[in-house]
Formats: sequence, C-alpha cells, structure tokens
Amino acid sequence: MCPIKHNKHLLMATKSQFFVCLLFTGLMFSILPVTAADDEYLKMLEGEAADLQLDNKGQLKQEDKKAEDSASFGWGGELEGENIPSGLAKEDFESVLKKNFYGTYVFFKKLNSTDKDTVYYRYSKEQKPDLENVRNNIMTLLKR
Amino acid sequence: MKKSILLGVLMCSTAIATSSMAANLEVKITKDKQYSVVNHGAELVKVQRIQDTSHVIDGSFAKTSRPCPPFCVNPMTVADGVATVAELEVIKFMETAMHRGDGALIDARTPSWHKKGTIPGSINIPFTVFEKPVDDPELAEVLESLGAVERYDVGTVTRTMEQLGMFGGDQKTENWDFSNAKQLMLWCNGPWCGQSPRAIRALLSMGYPAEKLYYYRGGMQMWQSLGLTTVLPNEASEYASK
Repeated sequence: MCPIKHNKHLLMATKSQFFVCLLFTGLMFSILPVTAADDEYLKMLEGEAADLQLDNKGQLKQEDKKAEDSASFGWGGELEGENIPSGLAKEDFESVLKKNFYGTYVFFKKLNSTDKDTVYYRYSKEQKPDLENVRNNIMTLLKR
Repeated sequence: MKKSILLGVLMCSTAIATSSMAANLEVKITKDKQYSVVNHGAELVKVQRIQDTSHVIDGSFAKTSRPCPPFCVNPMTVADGVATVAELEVIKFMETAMHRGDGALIDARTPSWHKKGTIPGSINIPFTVFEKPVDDPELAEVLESLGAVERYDVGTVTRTMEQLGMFGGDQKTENWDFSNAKQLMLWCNGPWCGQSPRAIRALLSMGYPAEKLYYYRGGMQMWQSLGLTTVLPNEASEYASK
C-alpha cells in the first residue's frame, strides 16, 4: 500500500469527521438559543402569572351563581330541580321553558301574546322565580 | 262595562311596558343586547358588563407596561386566512358555534393564568400543548377532542389526489383529517400576549384549516376593560391544563 495514498485517505476521513462535528455543533447552537428563549419566556410568563390579580368586580362567584339563577342546568333539558333562572330576557325565558320544561312550554304556547307577556311579567317580578308559579299562571290564564 | 275593559287594556299595556323594562340594564353590551347566556361546562352563565358606571379597572390588567420582548404588541393579523375578532364576535360565537357544539373558545394561556379567572365558556388548552411534537399522545388527544381524526397509512395515490384538491384534500394532511374539526377561537391576555398567536401558528403548521381559526386579539385585557363577566375555571374548562 502506498503510504502517501493511505495518508490521503486518512486526511479525507479526518476532514469529513471535522465537517460532521462542525455541522453538529452548529445545529446544537442553532437549537439551544430557541429552547433557552422558550424557557426564559415561560419563566417570565409564570413570573407575571404569580402576581396576577383579576378585576374581581365582574367575576361571577359560585355563590352568586347559585343565588342568581340556580344555574346548574344545561341547554339539553337536564335541569336539576324545578328552578328557573331569574332575570332572563323574554326570548331566553321562552327558550328555557322550551328546552327544559317542554310540558309547561306546550301550554305556554297556547296563550295569546298578551297572556304570554303577562306570564313573563309575573316571572320577571319574582326575586326567586318558582316554576310552580309560572305553571299556575299559565293554567289560570288558559282557563280564563 | 266600558270602564272595566278600559282598565283591563290599561293594566295589560302597563304589564307589557314594564316587562320590556324588567331586566333593563344601564350598561348594556350593545344598544339591543343586555347580556348573553353561555354554557360554561354544565352551567349556564350570564355574560354582561359591570353595572357600576363609576368603576375603574383594577388588578393586573390595569398595568400598561411589561418588558418587550417578550411582551410585545402583536399585529392585527396573526396569519393569512385567520380572522381577528373582537368582543361582539366572541359573544356571537358563544351563542352560535359553541351552542351548536361545532366551536370551541380556547384559553391558550398557561394554567397558572387560567386558574385565576377566565372568559365564560372557555376551555384551557395552553399553547405549549399545541407546540408539542406531532406524534405526542397529549397533542393527539387534544386534536381528537376538537374533532380532528387521526389518519393511518394513507395511500400515495389518495394523498396525491388530495393534494390536487380532490376528496376534500384542503382539510386533510397525511396524519390528520380536519374535515369535521371544530371552529376554534383562541385568546390569551391581550394585544401584548404571544400565547394565542403561538398556538394558532402551531395549529396551522400541523394543517388545521385557517378558515376554522379565529384570533381574539383583545383577550383578557379588553374583556376586563369592558367590564365583561369572568369566571373561575371549573373542571370542564380545565380539560388540558393538568
């Protein structure tokens, strides 16, 4: 084997190893700042969040929700108990009746518009509306 | 007889007039909208504005300056095809897409922010989840919960045809089918917050259709500035924040 040729091969191998190393190091350096910056960003986010205080005036508390509308019901008709939320607009009142108390809604629908308004008016005046009262009002007006 | 009819008419008209004023708020959302009712997990929450007209914003969102970078002002548009929205569109979204079940309002902030208070109806999926590698099981679970369907072994011919725009290819990638994916409205702390823009960019990079993404740039900063209702998170809203 020619020693010169052998050395040439060795030199080429060393060169390519050097380039691979250089590439790898470059790659590492290009990834590291991104990760470091991300860590720094998350650290700053957490720092800000630690002192975070929301303006609580508009925050709905659990007890407010219960007091205000016995809000533990969904749109799907699975209303727990016989409570109807207070302070609903007329369209929402009808919508809640339709979706959660369809039986009551069927009778409500038979009322003329003035009587419907009367039912809604009486409901809106109640501090803690009771479905039983709504039903009685509907039936009284229907029987009239 | 005439007198009693007249009295009846008068009483009815008073009842109607009073009923229309019954829930009359001084500080409405718009001239015609007093409040909205939104599903927040299993609860119905009334979204309205603070009624105290002398109230000024308090707490962290009264702060004007944070170091930039990283808390720099974002441009209006986060990415091509992604619509930027404001409060009325958020409320409309709550009443329509979210109510139908084909839309999700996403609080893209890290859990430490979310747990202090959120916009009603939001679910917390931090931007860091969207930035996970495509093969990450948590990311896959989140995408599936948003209506995306994972795809396996899509044939080359099928994929090529999809890339040519056939078979609804614009809603599909090699790994995901977004045809029935929900519309997502993402938000974070406000115009200075980079968390939701990062979530949106990550979603786009994995092929989520831009037309199904919305960016609420105002975020918590504007929501609070307008005195709109916030809630403490419940179990349903903490879906991906563990």
